[in-house]
Amino acid sequence: MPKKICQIICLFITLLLFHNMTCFALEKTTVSVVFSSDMEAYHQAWEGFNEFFKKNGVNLSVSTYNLANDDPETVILRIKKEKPPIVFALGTRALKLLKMRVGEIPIIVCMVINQDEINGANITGVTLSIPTMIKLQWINENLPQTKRIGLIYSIETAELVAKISQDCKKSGYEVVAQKINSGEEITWALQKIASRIDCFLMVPDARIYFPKSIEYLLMEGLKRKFAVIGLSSFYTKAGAFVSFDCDYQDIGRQTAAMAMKILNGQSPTDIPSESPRKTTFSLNLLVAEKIGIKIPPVVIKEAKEVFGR
Amino acid sequence: MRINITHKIIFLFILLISTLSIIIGFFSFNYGKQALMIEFDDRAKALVKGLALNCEYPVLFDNKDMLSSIGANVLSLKDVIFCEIRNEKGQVLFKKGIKNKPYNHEYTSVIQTEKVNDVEEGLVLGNGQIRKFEKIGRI
Repeated sequence: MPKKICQIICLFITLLLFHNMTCFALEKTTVSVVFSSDMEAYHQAWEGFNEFFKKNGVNLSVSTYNLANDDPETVILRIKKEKPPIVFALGTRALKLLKMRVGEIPIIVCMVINQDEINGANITGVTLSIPTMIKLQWINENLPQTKRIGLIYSIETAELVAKISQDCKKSGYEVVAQKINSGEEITWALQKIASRIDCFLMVPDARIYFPKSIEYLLMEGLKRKFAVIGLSSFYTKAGAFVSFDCDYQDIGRQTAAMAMKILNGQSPTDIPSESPRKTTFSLNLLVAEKIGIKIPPVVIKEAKEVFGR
Repeated sequence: MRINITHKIIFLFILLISTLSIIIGFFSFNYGKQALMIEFDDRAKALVKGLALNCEYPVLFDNKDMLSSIGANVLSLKDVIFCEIRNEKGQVLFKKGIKNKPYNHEYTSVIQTEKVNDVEEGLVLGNGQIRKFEKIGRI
């Protein structure tokens, strides 16, 4: 008789455990997602974010907003009404809006270039900026003749350029930097520095770079034979020698891991913002040939995208 | 000489033919002129638009040599008598030819350049939606 009771108790405990597990799997977590625009990269990051939660058995109940179509005021009102445990911002526009208007809800952000934007007691996330050291290491390994790196910047990117310069100096490179006020001044700035540089590192500065100034830079790079390091594979395709990229889906997963910590009770202030953990690079072989750089086949194989074959 | 009915009919017939010829000639001349003007107008508009596109780069970077060669090239065309290129401040960057010739028509076009809006990731992610056009000059 006691054996039977024991069996029943065991069965009851097993059932109870199973019930708890299924309850956890079916647990719904509410997240408000705000897209800055309809960019494909934002959707890729969102896919990664979703995938991470699904893999961890958390069902997301999502309210999605897109600032390309939705009125920012309505978005804020609805988020404040819903009061989700976390708000996920994709891009600078969404972050700026939430930072200004939502102070009480933790904000997790990704796809933002400027790390300084991710500041505030309730904000953390993953930036889009690839650490300069990764780029410098690649230059060191694949462009050993490089001694001087050129940079053109405006007041918007002065701080970023100061950080890059420090990293360059640490890695033993001389920095030739030129400050300008607008993209129209890129001609004289390049003329001033072009003869003194071995490669040119682009910084994400919308004041300087627009289609025509980029075209000018890439053309000058070919003419004066210096390697241009672009901002993403779009630039490599257009004529930069090499560009570094992030895996947007992985950025989404990385951000989701941070979001999970917040949902488990950690404060966003205790979670420092991170750089993307997965980086890739793209090469333009035609440009390499024109500027006289020989790339070993191993490096070509490593590249995620190769243009001008 | 006596004018009989036959003469009268012949005269009337000649008069009718002449009047009809004059009317048809007048209309066909006007129609031809109009067709030529439409074609001329289309050609001139296309030319000015093309010129504005070609001028984007030299106007943006104030490359006067390039503007001179573009302007000279346009002036070498049969129907072009005058060409003036200004920047957005109104400064004349190129001016050549005789403006006040009889029967001339003036065509203008805005020189624009594409710029990226203040959202920085557009630079990295390369999306055309957040770009805008900025006026930089005029032909």
